[in-house]
Amino acid sequence: MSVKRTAVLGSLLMGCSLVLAADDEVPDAEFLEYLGLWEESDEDWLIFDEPITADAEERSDPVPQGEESTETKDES
Amino acid sequence: MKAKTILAIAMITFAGLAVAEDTGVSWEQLSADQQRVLSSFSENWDTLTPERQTRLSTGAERWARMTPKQRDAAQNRFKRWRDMPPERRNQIRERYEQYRDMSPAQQKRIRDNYRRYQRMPAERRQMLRDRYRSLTPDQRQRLRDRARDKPRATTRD
Repeated sequence: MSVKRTAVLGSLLMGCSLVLAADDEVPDAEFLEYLGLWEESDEDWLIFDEPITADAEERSDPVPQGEESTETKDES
Repeated sequence: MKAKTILAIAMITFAGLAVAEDTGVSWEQLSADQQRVLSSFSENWDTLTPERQTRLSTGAERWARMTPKQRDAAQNRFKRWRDMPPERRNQIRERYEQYRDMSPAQQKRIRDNYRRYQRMPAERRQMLRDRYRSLTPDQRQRLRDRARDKPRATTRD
């Protein structure tokens, strides 16, 4: 077997093992529990990191450019 | 006959409660992918609480389905989550639990609000945040109640 062929085979084997290693990547338990904490996706909590979007009454149409929003104004 | 009806209702009610309770997942019920991701728990899986089994099996399933890009994004979110003060995490969890109790229409409205907010220019988001911070707790509560209870208007005043 030529040196060139050995080198090609070696590279192929290395590439395969890298792909397998990536597929076998196992995260730690804390992270897995975090992923399983949410009903649909762990992206869900981002909504509640911005309470304004969960609390505020919204208008049904986009606010025209330059117009003031009343989204967070209270009508007391 | 009346006693039979009451018994039947009681049985249905308790059967419903039994279904609602988290009974966990046995190791044999896990898919091959879940077992691979959770291999470090194979020996002591039965000793975990049902709630933990459910969280871990759900998390493993999600992880196995994610693309490398999605995995990176989820790990970044986890880092943000982990680095938050516990009080802040509890606050978000409480809000999330309230959200889960809402009707699908109310949940959709909140998700739509969030998407609309995300699309706003940074300066506008900052202005809304500043306004929100200036509200009293009572005013915030009223906004929350209104967002939850009032049907969404289809036209503007």
